[in-house]
Amino acid sequence: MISLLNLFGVFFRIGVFTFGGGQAMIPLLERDLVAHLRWVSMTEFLDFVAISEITPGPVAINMATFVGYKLRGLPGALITSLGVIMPSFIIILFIAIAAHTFRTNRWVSAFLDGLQPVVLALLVYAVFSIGRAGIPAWWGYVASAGILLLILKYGKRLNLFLTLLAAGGLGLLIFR
Amino acid sequence: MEQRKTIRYTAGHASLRKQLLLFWVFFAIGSFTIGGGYAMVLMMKRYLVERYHWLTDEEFYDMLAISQVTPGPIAVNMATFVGYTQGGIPGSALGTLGVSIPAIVVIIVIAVSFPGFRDNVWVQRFFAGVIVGVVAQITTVVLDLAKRQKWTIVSGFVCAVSLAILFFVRQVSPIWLILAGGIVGVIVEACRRRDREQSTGEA
Repeated sequence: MISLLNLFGVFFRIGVFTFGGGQAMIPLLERDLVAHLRWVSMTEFLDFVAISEITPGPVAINMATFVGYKLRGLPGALITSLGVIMPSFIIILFIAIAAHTFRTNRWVSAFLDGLQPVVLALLVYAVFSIGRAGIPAWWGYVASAGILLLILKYGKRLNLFLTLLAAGGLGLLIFR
Repeated sequence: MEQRKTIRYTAGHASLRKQLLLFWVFFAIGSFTIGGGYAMVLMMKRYLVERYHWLTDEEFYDMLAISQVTPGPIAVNMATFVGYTQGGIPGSALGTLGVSIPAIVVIIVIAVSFPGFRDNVWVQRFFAGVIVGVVAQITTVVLDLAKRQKWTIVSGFVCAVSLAILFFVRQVSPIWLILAGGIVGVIVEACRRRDREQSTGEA
């Protein structure tokens, strides 16, 4: 049986080396858990990824919980989730303690200004990749454009959580 | 700049009510993060910037960028940072727990009681619909960020090159793009500074 400490260690290490958001973690998890340690099979792994992508919460935490639960039940699920969260928690906490605000001097400020266009590009790419992976038919994009117009028109008066639930309801009706 | 004055950092001495609010806001955000990191950007912006004024616009977008060069999910990074600036270490722990608990609970429930979850047609259709909403929400953030960008030849070029790399090269980690963009920013600032010194030197 795999020890809890071992589980924690593996997920902590994955947490340390995942830059660029939770999605970036998937290839790393695959290499470690499927190819290297052989804790889960490839089919199971793909199943976990598919479910993690459509369930609430950061994908990295979903994945960790899945694998932990599969290997060691509830304690395993909690340990792996903790392991994957700890690195980013500690690092961001240090940043926050060191500087309450980012723009501490003009060079840092220039650096942050310089990467704003890159963030814009990343967001544009995210729209395309999420749409391509998750929207099964062209009328989904039409519906998406409609929701976009609603958000732009009604702005803050529109409850975003309800909008997502309504979009889900719409999905039940329009997707076959 | 005006907005910055309204933000107060209360790290270390926030009321219990505020700590619970931090937990609750991030719990709500975590509950609706569907489709990966960026899915939540609009909700986070709405709550953290516009509603509670825990971050300025600028800090919010800086934080998005910083999340790309530090490990971990964006939502967790955001929760830890905002939690700390607003409620000290307890606040950052509560925010991080809040954003993580929904993910953990949902997966355990699915693992325990719905083995066929993914194959259910209704589940698939519902979540395809949610993604439709998520795409619309991220697009509004794209528009907002494009609008507040100080467009210059350099920033336009950086944006276009990043897009080209993301779409056509694929296997590039965002971290390199982010670092390259930042270095371009520093070089631009250095050039501007030299120009300024030269012009004052001549005068």
